[in-house]
Amino acid sequence: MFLQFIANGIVIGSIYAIVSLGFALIYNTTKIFHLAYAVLYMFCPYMILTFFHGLGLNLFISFTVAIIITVFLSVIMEFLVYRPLAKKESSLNIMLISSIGIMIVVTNIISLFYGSETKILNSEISKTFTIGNIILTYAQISQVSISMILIVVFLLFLKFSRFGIMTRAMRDDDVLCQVLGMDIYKMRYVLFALSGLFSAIIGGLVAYDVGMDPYVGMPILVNAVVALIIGGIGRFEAPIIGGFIIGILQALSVWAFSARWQDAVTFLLLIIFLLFRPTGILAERKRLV
Amino acid sequence: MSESILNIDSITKSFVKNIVNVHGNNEDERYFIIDDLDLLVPKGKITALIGGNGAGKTTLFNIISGFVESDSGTVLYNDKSNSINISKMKPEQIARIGIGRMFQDNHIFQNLSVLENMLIADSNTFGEIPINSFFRTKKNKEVEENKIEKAKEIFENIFGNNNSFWERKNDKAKNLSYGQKRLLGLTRLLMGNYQLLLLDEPSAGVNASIIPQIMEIIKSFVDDKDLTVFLIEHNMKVVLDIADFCCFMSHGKIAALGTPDDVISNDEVRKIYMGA
Ligand SMILES: Nc1ncnc2c1ncn2[C@@H]1O[C@H](COP(=O)(O)OP(=O)(O)OP(=O)(O)O)[C@@H](O)[C@H]1O
Ligand SMILES: [Mg+2]
Repeated sequence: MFLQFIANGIVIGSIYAIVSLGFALIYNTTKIFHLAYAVLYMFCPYMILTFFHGLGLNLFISFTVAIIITVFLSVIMEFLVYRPLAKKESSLNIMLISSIGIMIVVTNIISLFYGSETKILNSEISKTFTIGNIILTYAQISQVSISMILIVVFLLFLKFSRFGIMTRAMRDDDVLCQVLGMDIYKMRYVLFALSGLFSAIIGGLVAYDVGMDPYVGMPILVNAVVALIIGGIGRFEAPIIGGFIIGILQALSVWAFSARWQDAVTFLLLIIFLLFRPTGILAERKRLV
Repeated sequence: MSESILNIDSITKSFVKNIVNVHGNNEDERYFIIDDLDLLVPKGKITALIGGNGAGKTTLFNIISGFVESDSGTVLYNDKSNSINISKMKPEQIARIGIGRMFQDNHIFQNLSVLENMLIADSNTFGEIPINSFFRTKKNKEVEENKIEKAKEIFENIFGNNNSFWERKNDKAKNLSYGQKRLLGLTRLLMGNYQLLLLDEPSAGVNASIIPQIMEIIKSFVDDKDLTVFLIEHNMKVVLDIADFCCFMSHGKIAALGTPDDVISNDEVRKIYMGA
């Protein structure tokens, strides 16, 4: 039984890790607290629903088209809201409030068209896979394996590609980036596209397993932000470590107490970290000046 | 004066400050930091800009490099062949046409390695569409190897073989000392394809023993690379040693202009710098 819970923890941890990574990609580089990111997570499944059930397209094509549209929505948010605000030198608080605005608008549009009740993408009973005592559905296995691939590829990309270096440079100092001839607004479009991609892929996979309603994004994002904080803000590896820690601890709390304790564990962890190690797990000691 | 690389023509910049007036009401007061300033920066020379704290020197640099828009006036940049109005251009465009800048406070990519700090400053990266930098194609790899070679050469030329920068190339830049960061900030400029360098107090806050090294580097920009240097500097010894021309900024204008010796003997300059 214990191993089964650990396995469940890894599944949920991989979701948090990917969502948190997409959030960190925006937060670390632009400092925008991109709450509207939560709607991308639920927007993609609704697009899959439209193409798969509504138009009767094949599942793979529906997934692909839905992901592309979600990525597009993410870029649109930057184009219509954040970029104009940034050009006017609006404060980050204004960006945050605008972000909440986008979130409310998109959520309401979705519930207007699709209703607020839970929808399912896959009505068959999912096939399971058994290793020893551990039982996982095929959807869960694909979540974990696709997340792992995304994480490894992304970290390599960040370390070795020139775009990766530019992304890390932008995290450190965007004024200097401009002095070196970098068009940071072009960079931001690509970053928004990438973060939308992460959210869309994992949102689609999870919804295929358990279904969705217009409000599924926010609780996941809250956990993802906590993952980012306990991992260490500013580092791109941090959300991954934080995500898996939260996932596994939540699963263990279900095992030891009950499912009601899941969220309490997250926030307990957050408080412990804020009190005793506010810089997160990965923070290095740094020079004071 | 010889041919100029920068024509600064009646630049004015004011900021608005909210004050309480004599009737106790809030009122916006406009104060001029730069007031109808004209200046020609000669090509291939070192020109120093001096002035008291808050005189507006950094603001002038911000206007030239596109971070601050002036209220009125124009800045012309004379390239090898043509003259370009850069008053309305964005910082990254200005960087790409050949104006490099070093900041007063240490701007450096703290979490990038020393070598990465050099590589990213290479002019080949300029103006690149982000997507082109995604993949490690064969061509990208070659470009990168060339850049690493270039960085190594620059370090060796300036600091000699077996220099500490090359030895520490994989260290994060944040672990360097303040003076080392400044040196890295200066050397980085050689990675770019610049014609004009704006240096904001390169010798500020560094140990006196490093200052001669910094002066050497700046002189080599002009003597070996044929660049033009426009330099803000509070250290009069540095100005007297390396600058060909000196201008003194006061009350938003250039109040005195000439060789460093001439300008230093100006009364107002003496008042600010020698307290006499
Ligand atoms: N964005 C801004 N808003 C309001 N005031 C500003 C702004 N930028 C600069 N100033 C003011 O303009 C004045 C000149 O600043 P600037 O940084 O150009 O001085 P400086 O000559 O570089 O001084 P220092 O030698 O101390 O570096 C200062 O009084 C500063 O407060
Ligand atoms: Mg200054």
